[in-house]
Amino acid sequence: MRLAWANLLHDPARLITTLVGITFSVFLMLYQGSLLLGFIRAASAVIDATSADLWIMGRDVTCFDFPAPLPERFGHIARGIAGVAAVRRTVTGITQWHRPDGVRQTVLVIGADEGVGERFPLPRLTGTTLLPDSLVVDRSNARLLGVTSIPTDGELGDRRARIVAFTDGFGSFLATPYVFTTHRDTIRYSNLPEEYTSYILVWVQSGHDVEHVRQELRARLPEADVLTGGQFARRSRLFWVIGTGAGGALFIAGLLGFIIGVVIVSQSIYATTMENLDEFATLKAMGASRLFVLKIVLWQAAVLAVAGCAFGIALALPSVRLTEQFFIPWIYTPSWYTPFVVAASLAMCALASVVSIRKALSAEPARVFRA
Amino acid sequence: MPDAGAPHLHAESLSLSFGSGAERTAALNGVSVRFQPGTVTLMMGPSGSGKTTLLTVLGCLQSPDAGRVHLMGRDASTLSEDERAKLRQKHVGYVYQAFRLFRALTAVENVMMGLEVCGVTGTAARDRARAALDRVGLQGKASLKPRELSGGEKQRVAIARATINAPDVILADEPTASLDHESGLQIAGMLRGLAGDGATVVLVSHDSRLLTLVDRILVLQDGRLIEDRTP
Repeated sequence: MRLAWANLLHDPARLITTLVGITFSVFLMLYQGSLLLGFIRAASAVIDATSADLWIMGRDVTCFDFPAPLPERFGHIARGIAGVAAVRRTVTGITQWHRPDGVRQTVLVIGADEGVGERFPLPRLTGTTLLPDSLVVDRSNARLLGVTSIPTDGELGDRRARIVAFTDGFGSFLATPYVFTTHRDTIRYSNLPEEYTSYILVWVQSGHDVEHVRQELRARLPEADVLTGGQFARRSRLFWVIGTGAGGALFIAGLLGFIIGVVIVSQSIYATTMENLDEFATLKAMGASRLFVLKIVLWQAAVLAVAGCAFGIALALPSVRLTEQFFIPWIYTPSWYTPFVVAASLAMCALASVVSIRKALSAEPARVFRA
Repeated sequence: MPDAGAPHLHAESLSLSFGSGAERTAALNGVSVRFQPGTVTLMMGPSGSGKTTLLTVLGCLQSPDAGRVHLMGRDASTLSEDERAKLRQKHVGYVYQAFRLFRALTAVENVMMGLEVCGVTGTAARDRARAALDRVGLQGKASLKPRELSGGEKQRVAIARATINAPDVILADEPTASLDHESGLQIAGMLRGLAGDGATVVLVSHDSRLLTLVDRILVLQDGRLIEDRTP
């Protein structure tokens, strides 16, 4: 593979241009993909933090953030269904947080009954005892809410409130940060009618079929939607990713990165192949097999892919970390995604070399005698 | 392998045309010729007479429309593309007017390519390539790239590469055309020497200096062999 390597290094300007193109493409795939995956995860973060088997909500609610009022009595009805082990509530309301420095910030207050899920952030005193008039906020929203230390006193919906703890992983991708508190306090802070809530969460007794209980609930509550946690999480993600177009834009940016990469690598490998077509013809005249020629083109593509990937990853991962720390707290790179991008980049370079391989293999050995 | 004394290379009734319809041109028209081992044959003729085309067909780089080429006792027309490549690899060395060196490789690496296509790599290939460069008088030039070599030196690297596998047949197209007088004579002498070692050397050239070095002259015109004589 000496010839492949030497041909790559022979034109440093072209090599650098190609590597910059692949690096940029890998960077885009990794960075935009992390934005998209983080966006998807954030879209259902609150739902995923509960352990409920079933969610009861107003008809056609598109996502967690935009509920419809749900009568409390639906919870009483649910308790009467065979196989229901527990029923708890979650409520959301829009209100204003009056920062210590006097600035007002619109927030989405999210409240829940104790026991909705271990990961669900609630202001606890100890164990299961919830603190009244207390709030938990995501660490990434601290600056937006004017919180420099814990505790911080302020006003929420013109009532005194104290931020008592930070949580992580619930940074809102909307302009309105999430504020977590008890169900009761959410009703008060948001001035919601007490006989309504937003969601009724149902736990099914072990030994009972969740789908069967869901169908029972649907039959008893025709004015409501009854979904499993997974179904509601999926509906929320689909709404934010496809329904709003925001996720689509992120997806298309990542896809563009891939396409740009394919085009740049294709052009570069094709130009290199065409430039060396006489050399491939010379090799064939010397008796080189098709496999020998094929290996040279593929080796060039593989070197470009691996080097471009390495540079792209080396740039993208720290950029994702910095973005998470300073700008977009919900950006997220799952552990499987980096190997996926590496595989996609290798596929990209293989795809890009297809035309070049055809050209190299079809080089006429007789052309070497043409001066 | 052919019997001892049998020709390494012979052609029977070769015909080859290019183009189609009214623009169809016969590049070769019923050419039959035999080449004896240890001889240097010079093919001459005006431009477009079919010399280079005959060389490509004799070297199994191109198939004729009709006729047969026998290389080392094998009928090339019955072989697949890969089999013809193997036959070239083992038995044919090519020398070109334009040298055809790999521009990104050094002189020694260029010569090594002649071995690497046969699967010989590493130190063994490098040692043999260095020895081949020594034989053509390029000691100390092994690590230079083609752009750092003169025309005569490039052609000597090309000859080292063409002969690294000790081919039975050497086909050379205008090997002295791009060289100065002195270098041309040196290259001609080298080709003569290869015939002295038993190879069949076939040259295409307009260079009259070669007339004194060859054993036989073939003259082509309009794709036909019109003259076959000794100088």
